[in-house]
Amino acid sequence: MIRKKVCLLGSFAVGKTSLVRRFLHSEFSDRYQTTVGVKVDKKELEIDGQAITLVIWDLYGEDRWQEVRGSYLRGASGGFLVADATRLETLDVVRGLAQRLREQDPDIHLQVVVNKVDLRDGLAIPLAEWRARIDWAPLTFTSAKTGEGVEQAFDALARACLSPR
Amino acid sequence: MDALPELFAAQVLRAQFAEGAWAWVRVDEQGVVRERGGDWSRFGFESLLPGTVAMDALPFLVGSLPILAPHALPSVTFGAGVSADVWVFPVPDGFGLVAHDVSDRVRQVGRMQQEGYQLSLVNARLTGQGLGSAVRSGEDLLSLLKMAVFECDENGVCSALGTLAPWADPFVEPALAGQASTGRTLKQGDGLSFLDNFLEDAQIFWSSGQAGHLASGVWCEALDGGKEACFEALAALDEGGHRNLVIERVDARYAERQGTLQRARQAHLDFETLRGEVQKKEVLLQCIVHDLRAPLANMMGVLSLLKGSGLEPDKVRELLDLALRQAGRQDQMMRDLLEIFAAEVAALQSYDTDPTSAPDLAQVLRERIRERIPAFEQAQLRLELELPATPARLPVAAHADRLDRVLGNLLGNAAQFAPAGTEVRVEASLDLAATPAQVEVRVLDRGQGVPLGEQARLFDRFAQGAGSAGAAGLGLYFCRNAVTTWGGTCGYRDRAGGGAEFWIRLEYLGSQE
Repeated sequence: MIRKKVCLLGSFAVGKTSLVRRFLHSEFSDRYQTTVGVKVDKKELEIDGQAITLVIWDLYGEDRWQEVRGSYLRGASGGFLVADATRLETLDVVRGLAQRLREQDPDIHLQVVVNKVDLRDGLAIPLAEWRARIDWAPLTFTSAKTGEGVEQAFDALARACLSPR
Repeated sequence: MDALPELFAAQVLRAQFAEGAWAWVRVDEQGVVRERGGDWSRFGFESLLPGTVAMDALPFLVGSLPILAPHALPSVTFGAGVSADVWVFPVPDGFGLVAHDVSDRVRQVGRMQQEGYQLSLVNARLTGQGLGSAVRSGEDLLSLLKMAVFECDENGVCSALGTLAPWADPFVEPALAGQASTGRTLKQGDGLSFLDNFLEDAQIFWSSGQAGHLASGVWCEALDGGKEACFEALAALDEGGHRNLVIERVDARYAERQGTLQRARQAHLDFETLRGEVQKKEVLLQCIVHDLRAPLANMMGVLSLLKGSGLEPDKVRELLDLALRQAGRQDQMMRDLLEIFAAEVAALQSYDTDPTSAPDLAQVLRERIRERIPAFEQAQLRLELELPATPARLPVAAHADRLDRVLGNLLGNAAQFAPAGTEVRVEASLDLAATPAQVEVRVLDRGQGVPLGEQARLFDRFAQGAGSAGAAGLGLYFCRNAVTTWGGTCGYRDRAGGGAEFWIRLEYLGSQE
């Protein structure tokens, strides 16, 4: 079976671990639990009749207290970059991480998600503006809480990882 | 220390500044420092003086320009070794920046983390200075230390030394019949697991002959049976040149580190949430004041016309009716605000997409134009409306009250900038070829238009053109927020033949036949 490593990256508390839980177990908890280090999970998918195992590296949120190690990104076919729809500053972190991923591997597949779109009243900027600002990579709006867009985003990245580089 | 300017203070939570030094700077559109205040020497930037180029001193801003909306920058460390929270936000002629020294808080969290690392360092010392030898001589320390110890060769094959606890089973090849733990080898995968990834780094480290150790950092994964466990690996060369690898269960230490980080990050999130709430309320208040001015301006226009002599009684009655309607509109608005303020905040994002109840743009335009004609006449302006011949109704995805305000803001803008004696045109057209079909409304005047340099941030908060003194700069900001919330777009282009053309496009919900 084909195995592909994808790294989940983004600022802290954007919902990376919640997205993985939703994708793997269809679960969600409102309680924020920060991730220390790396959580590694696997999910088997079938894309157009082809079986694929996604090895998902859920990396700790990057901030002044924790910076993502370059060696963790080695061997990744895809980068799953997560921003928080209610915190515009998380887009700056996503941009910086995308740059680092591309420096490490110019051909890496990127998928940006703007998470927490169920919080309609708390959006930092309208969704149309998020879309306008993220015109450099495929973008999906997601909610780990409701499940909106989560499967589509992971499927899209898995599909991209199967395509020729 | 001097006070933080009011415009800047509105962007940050003042209570946050009770401790730690802060500084602010206002930079114009050319990137030149115009004003500064606070304790810049604390940040090592005594040279950041008015007239100097801001980017030379603040290179971390380069990727963030232009500043279109207020936001915080992640983790900025200044040259003087000062960790700072930094906020940037647009101001009328450039952008502002406030830096707040949070070095003490960062150091405090660092100390707490350091305590968590102590055990790692002790383990590393053991690994490098004799743990491998102790185990080889038969001492069973491993279960006490929750460790699995391996010796690796130059090809990356790692064999267990001593007894392996059951938790280590997922990492090693299955035992052969009758095989003891000692000698079982680590699984070799395709490089995608955490341990595989670390072993690549470990091989490089061992080959370099460096003293000390290499730590993998903590990782967690589900063991057989689905229960998640957390580990850390250490690689070191011992005094005999053996390549030792230690895998340690670190569940308790993980929980401790998580608690420390969680508290620090939760505090940061709470602060950001509070700041966002303060800003949201502030914007709402400013929008309300702006909206309350619109009917008042219409009433003043009517009163000015009434002051003139020679009006027919019917005309006077019509004008008084109009003034009363405007007064009633303002009264209704204020009562609504007082009575349902909380509900209004919650409903800011709502709008109607039901074709039968959605606002009819044609009707809204006819009403708004009719209301505005006296004020336009007073300013010696002609106001013309051009609607498509068919269909009669133009239902659009919007919120009726806020659509009123959007159109009112665009008309108010045109009235302000169109020269006396000219015509302001309002045109609506239906674009059935678009997906989804859209209605476009254009408001055209023969004023001076908007200079190219101001067009990009025309719809930003507090954006003011050179001739818009006295306005809060929120009208177009409100328009953009409302229209984009409804899935529409808005913009500006220079009008052919001179003047300004503001447009909005909204989804058309009516029949497409």
